[in-house]
Amino acid sequence: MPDAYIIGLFPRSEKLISTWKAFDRGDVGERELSNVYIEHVKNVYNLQVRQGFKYIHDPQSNWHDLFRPFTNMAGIEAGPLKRFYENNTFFREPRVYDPKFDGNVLDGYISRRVAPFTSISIPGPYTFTRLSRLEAEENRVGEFISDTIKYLLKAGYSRIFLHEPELVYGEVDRDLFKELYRLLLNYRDSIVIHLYYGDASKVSDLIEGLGVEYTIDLAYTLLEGLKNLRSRIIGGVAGDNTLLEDPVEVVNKISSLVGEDFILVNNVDLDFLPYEYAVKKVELLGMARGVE
Amino acid sequence: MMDILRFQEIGSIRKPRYLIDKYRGFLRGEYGYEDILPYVRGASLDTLRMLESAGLDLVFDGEMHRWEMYYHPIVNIDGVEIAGMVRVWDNYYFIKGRVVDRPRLRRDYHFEEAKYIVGNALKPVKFPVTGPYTLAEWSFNEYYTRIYGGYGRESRYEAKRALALELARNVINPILRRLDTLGLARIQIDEPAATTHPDEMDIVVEAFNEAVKGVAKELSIHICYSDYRLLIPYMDRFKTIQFTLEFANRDSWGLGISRDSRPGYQILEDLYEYGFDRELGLGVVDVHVDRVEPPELIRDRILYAAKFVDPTKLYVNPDCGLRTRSRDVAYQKLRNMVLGGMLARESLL
Repeated sequence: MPDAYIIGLFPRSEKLISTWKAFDRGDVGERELSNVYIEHVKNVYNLQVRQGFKYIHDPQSNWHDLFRPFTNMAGIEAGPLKRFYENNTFFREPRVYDPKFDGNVLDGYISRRVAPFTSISIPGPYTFTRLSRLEAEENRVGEFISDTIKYLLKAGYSRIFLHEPELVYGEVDRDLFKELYRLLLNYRDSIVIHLYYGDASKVSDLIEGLGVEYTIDLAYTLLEGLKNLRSRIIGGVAGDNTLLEDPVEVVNKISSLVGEDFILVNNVDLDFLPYEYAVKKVELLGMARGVE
Repeated sequence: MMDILRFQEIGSIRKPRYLIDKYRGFLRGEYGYEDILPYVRGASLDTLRMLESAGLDLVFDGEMHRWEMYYHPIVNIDGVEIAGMVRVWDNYYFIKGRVVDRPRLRRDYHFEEAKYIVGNALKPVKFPVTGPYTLAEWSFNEYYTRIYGGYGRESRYEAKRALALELARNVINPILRRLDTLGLARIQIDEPAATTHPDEMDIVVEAFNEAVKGVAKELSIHICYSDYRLLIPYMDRFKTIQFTLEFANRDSWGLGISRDSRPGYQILEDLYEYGFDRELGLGVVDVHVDRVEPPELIRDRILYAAKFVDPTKLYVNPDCGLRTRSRDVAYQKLRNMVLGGMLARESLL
């Protein structure tokens, strides 16, 4: 029987969006926004607990984009809007010139003080260097991410997903990958390299060589290639389409290729969906856990 | 005297507060569109006068007749249902639709709007229409995903192509043909999503050309926040006389017309090497910040661009619609854009 959980940023509810807009206009105060956010976080926590997920992912719905908490730290600035891969979603390009990790800043963006979340997503070092305007040595980003992981583990998270679409989207600099991940090997049991927007088989040999887990985006990875990959964390539920998969169909399709021992996840952040559809996808993943 | 540099806006201007409130009531189902139409028309006239007094050569009413560029079309297309709100950036969201059946035009959503604007504008009108590829890209494509399957690049390509062409032929083309009968100076097809998927550029071109088939009016295409290196090799294939692009968002705020002073405009070198010979709508105003560009900065951006594009083919505009700025800031930005353009014109003549 498969397991399942979610990865990545969770969308804001309509109530949270409108309260945030009201806050930006000065119509409501910080306390009211905070109360609405806490309510939202609790709802997303309870939703995941109800599904019986092994890892309960921090919704990170107060992150404007994957990089934003970090662009509020010394030595990194938020730059112009850039398209996030093949989406109508944009992020502020980080300008990285002298990055210094700051736990106090990150504290304001994590939700373990509200509920005991066990997993969280951060940019992987390779994608961070590639999507930034980099004015520092690449190793500095690797060290920065290493400090971030260390802090998050100390804060109580046990599973940290490093978003690395850049490793599979285009050409990859394999030497740079090795150099950056050399700095993270102490955490190999706690990190998962989250691959999406490309075929995982492009870099699976590299990652498997490090003994680190990774995810597979089924929308881009050839189905017949699945059995050759060691990973069994499979992004078989679309985080970017409201079309609701039939959990039985998805589980049977994957089982027929890799057997029953796998973990079904969303391939990309559910943040690309309206809140109501993200909830439905979570419930769908919960149903998939029960498919015999 | 050589006729160089014309000033235009791109599309949206922030609605006045009273109109936003009316639209919200409309979205909640408290009013019909006819109920809010008098307010729409009032704001439309105000915005026309605002843009005319800023000194623009081509004007529009800032989309007062539309809640926004995507929502307005999809609620008039059968086969598309509202899914909910999806983030564009930060806390900016748009209402996204789900395509659950073959899309069909239910009601021509632009004809009366255009007729009103043409009848009330004191200057020539450039009228924006959201393009078929962007409508397809910004929708959840459930219907054609079911037909072509959800896994693999090829099935997604086919599903997208089917949707974009259906929208081009059966929604946008009939609308454009009717707009063609009005006294518009130009129709601008908005395709901000054009370069979203590098492997779908063929679809963008095919859908655009299908949508404008049989349309005699002068056409431009607006593409923003995009990778123009992907676009350049396809430019010749679009049946349009103008490309209106965004640059200021990528540029520095320092003065100067050297290459290093104008990082946001260096892509023009690629355009030049490609042999670009159409008109260029040059984005010289960043629409995402309140800081108002001084006329001298506008001047320098134009003068730098004029090294690569024939100034008789240069149009000057903001990067994109100004709806995210207050109306006061939008006016100041447009006014300075015109003043800076006049400074550039003096240098170029």
